[in-house]
Amino acid sequence: MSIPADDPVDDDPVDDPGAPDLAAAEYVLGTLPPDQARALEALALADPAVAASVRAWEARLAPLTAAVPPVPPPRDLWRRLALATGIEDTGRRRPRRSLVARAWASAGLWRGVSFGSALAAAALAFLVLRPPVPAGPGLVAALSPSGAPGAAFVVRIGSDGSGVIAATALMPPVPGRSLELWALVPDAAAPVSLGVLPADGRARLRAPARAGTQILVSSEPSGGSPTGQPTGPVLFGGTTALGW
Amino acid sequence: MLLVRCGQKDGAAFRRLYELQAPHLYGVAFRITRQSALASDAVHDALLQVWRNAARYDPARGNPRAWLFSLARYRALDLVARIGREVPEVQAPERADTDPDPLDRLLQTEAGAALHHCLAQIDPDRRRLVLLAFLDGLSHAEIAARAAQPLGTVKSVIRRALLALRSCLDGTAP
Repeated sequence: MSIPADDPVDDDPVDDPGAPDLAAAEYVLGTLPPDQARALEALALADPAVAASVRAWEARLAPLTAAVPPVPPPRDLWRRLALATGIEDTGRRRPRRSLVARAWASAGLWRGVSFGSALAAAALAFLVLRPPVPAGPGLVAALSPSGAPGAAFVVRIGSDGSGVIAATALMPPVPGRSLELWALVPDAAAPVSLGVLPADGRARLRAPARAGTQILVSSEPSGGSPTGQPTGPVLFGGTTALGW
Repeated sequence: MLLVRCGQKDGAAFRRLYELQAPHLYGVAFRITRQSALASDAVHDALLQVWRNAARYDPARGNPRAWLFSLARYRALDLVARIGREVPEVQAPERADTDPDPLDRLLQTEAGAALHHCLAQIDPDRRRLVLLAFLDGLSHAEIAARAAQPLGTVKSVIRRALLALRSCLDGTAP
């Protein structure tokens, strides 16, 4: 990237301290250093002209937030707000949620996906999976909730790409939401949908038979992502490894 | 208006405001913080401020959306300044791939269309620096590193772009 140096910085009118509106602009933009930002906040409290300047910049720049696509917030956010404001939770009554479900609710978007050990996954796979056994030799992945140990799902994928997924525990369904399974092969720009998980969390699937592929579970609108890409938070994830 | 009803401590109005705006606020805060917990905190604190201060909000002041999103952005920027930004372990696939120009989303509102028009007047390389600041919440130094430009140049370019935006938006030719 190159920026044309059309005129020297030295006689830059924008360095003129007589441009107080510029401090308000940088405050709203977010580039004012923290100490100057606090000073400007104090000034705005004392000087209505400064406050008006800040508000005018907020009005000018706020429409830019529309450039960011909406992301469903974690499900516990409303509960925290209802608690903090003293509003009774007017939402649907939900069954008491299990540990896994709560880990799921606090799971982050595309982050903190922790990877269970392939060994543990392999052991678990034999515990919870029933035939048909995918063609071998194959891959296994344990899908863990973000920031929590343990596998919520195990996945086995045979050398021919046929596979199975099974939840290790029953999860309460979330009204209006579906869990969708994704595969992100190494170096791919975007994940590929493997389909929506049925309520019991068990399904046959077809997936890339490639070690190192990330298998992800995201929360999507009922019936699956409308865009073909994950739109909700990724709740569980793991990486396939040669396992059996 | 929802804010007025929130000021009257109307819980149903607050819930409605949450349903309408929380995904947008969370998207904006997550883009800045890159951490779910911090983004949640930013939206939580912003909406709590709305609940507590909506009674004092003057509708004549106009632009409740600017107020709401500014609250969330300031909180997100503050959290990042204090706690730092975590690099996600799993990179989100670039949405830009499927979204030819995210700025086109601005065209859905009148104010957004005006801003879109004025941003289009700015050289794309300069505009990008403004977007890195506003949308990604990057500091001058972070933008300089990202754009491989001297810090002074970055500061100057951003200030000029802001002045150009003001002129364009306020309808006075520069």
